[in-house]
Amino acid sequence: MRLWLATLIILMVFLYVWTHIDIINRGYEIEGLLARKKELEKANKVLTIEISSLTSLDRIEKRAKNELGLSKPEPGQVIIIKTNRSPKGGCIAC
Amino acid sequence: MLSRRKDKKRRLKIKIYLIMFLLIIGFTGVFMRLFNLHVVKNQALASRAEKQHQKTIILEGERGTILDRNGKILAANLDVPSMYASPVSVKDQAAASKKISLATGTEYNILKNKMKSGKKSGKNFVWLKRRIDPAKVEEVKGLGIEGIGLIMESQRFYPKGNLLSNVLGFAGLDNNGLEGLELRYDKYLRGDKRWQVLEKDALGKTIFPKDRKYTTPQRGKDIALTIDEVIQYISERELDLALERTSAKSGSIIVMDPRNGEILAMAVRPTFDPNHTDSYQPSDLRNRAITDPYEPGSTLKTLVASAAIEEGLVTPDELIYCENGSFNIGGRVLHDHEKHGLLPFKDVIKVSSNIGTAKVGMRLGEERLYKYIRAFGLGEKTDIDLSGESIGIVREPGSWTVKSLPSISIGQEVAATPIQLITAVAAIANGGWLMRPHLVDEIRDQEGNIVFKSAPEVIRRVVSFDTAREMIKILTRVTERGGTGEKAVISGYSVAGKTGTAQKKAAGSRGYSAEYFVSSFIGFVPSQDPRLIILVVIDEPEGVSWGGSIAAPVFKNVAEEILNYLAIPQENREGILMVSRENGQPGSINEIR
Repeated sequence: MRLWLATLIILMVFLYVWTHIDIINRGYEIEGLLARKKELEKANKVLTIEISSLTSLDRIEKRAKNELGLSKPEPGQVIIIKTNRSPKGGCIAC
Repeated sequence: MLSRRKDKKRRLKIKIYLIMFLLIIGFTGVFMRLFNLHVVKNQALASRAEKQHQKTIILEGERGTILDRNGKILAANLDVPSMYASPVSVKDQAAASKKISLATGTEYNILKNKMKSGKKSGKNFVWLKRRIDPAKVEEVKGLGIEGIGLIMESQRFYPKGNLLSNVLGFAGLDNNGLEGLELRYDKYLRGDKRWQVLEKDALGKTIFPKDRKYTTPQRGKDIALTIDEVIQYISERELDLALERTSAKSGSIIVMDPRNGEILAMAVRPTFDPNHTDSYQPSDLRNRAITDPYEPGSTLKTLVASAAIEEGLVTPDELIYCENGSFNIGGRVLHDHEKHGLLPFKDVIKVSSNIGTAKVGMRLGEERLYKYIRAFGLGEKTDIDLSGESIGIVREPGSWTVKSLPSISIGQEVAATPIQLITAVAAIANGGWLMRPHLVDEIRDQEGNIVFKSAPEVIRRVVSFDTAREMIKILTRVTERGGTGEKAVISGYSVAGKTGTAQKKAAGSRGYSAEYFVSSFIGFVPSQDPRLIILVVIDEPEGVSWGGSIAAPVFKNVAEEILNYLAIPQENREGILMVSRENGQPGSINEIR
């Protein structure tokens, strides 16, 4: 009986110590993952701003003209007709 | 035998007393040490332990993003490293300064002086270089100098460069708004600071705080503007071309939706790149569209004509004698740039006759002219959501001279900012309502909840719907053959507008300069159902200065491209069916011809 009790107590102590260590290890893992998440968020933001910068209309227009030889349509080449669909640019032309 | 035993017993006693004495001394020492640690030095040691095991970090809330009406980023924040030094820990300050100077491009003397003065005053922390160029970060990290470190700080970026910069303004080193929208909406854009205490283990590694709630700092709110990046770009590009063509000093273009006061574009020159504000003059940072009043010249005739029609003092078809180009009125000799005899009033505006308009202004009289000019919003702020707006100059009739009435009727002796003028003429375009112009469409918190949504705001009704309709017909004639605004005509659309060529005040005299002018054109399109109102102002163009020659073609170029971009249907081309087929898809060009 005493032996069983002693074994149980030792097991409980081991269990307590193991869970305590595991909680600390999980804490390190969470901390690491949070740091990684922050890094990825930052990288994402850098890329978003880079996209925003690279899609500047001034840059696109210059490349379209100089590198691709594109030009604006002449008057009469574009005929705009009334449709039921929402126009570009939100509700300005609704 | 007995004496030996007694002697042994006595020595044992001495030993016991000696041990007891030593024990008492020892325990007293331990007790005193414990007393010293737990009572006397308690607070100091607790604080030292806390410093060793806990790390307090200040998390600064990120500044909110500014977006255009379609969600395009115009201003956002990024974390970049800043370099600091603990001057007392840097062994060789000269060598350290040299290395850092080579890596960051900061002047050697500045770095050395910062460290030297920091060490002298016993400082543990001085900034060496804030917001290091991201391209140089790796080089800086590799320096490995003791006492030098990097801290991440949030920096404002404007990815579109100088696009809209005079409206956006800029934020300072501490992420506080200093100009433009950044300043006006600083309380929304700024994030909240939060302190977070993290525990460290014996090796200094951070332990996740299981007992504490992990909180992130409150990010600033995002602001969505009424500005459309494409319309803004078109306006700025055309303004640049116009200034280059005319060698003008400055200029501005405003594009507004006259129905609700939404500003779609506000282009201003000179301008600046908000990413590098140090290299510009303070005058380049100014938003001249709201800060600089100018004499509007003939564009003001639209308001005078509206007032006269509203008061029933003139009809569009009434004949007005224009005195063959020269007329003494109120002691001032007025001239028209072309000689005219009898003209219907609608043609007085079409050819922009000073004499004909001044005569109608005389009918209005001082009080009524002043009342209408004020009713159209001149002489008061439009209350646009930007700081630094000027009220312009409108004197009360009591201070007018005999020449003032005819002069004001043709847009002299009165000064308005571009935003005041476009707001006033928009009241004609929309059927008589003076609307409050605005730039912010909505403000959202970090979860995307809308905390503010703008709505069209009517300031007052200025003229009746019928007067506005009459005025639109008159202003449409300005862009027809023989009108001063012929060059503003756009194929497929009817355009209403008015030219303006205002002489500037001559420096050092009371008169007007024969050399310096402000050329302008204000117009709206499609004239019968206006979607856009555009004001073009070119200050001091060289050579030909007529508003019809300088500003009207700029209006045409800007409006034509915007109409195309917004897919606003053409209206008056015969043979073109301007409706879609039943399935919602447009028919082919062959089908609709």
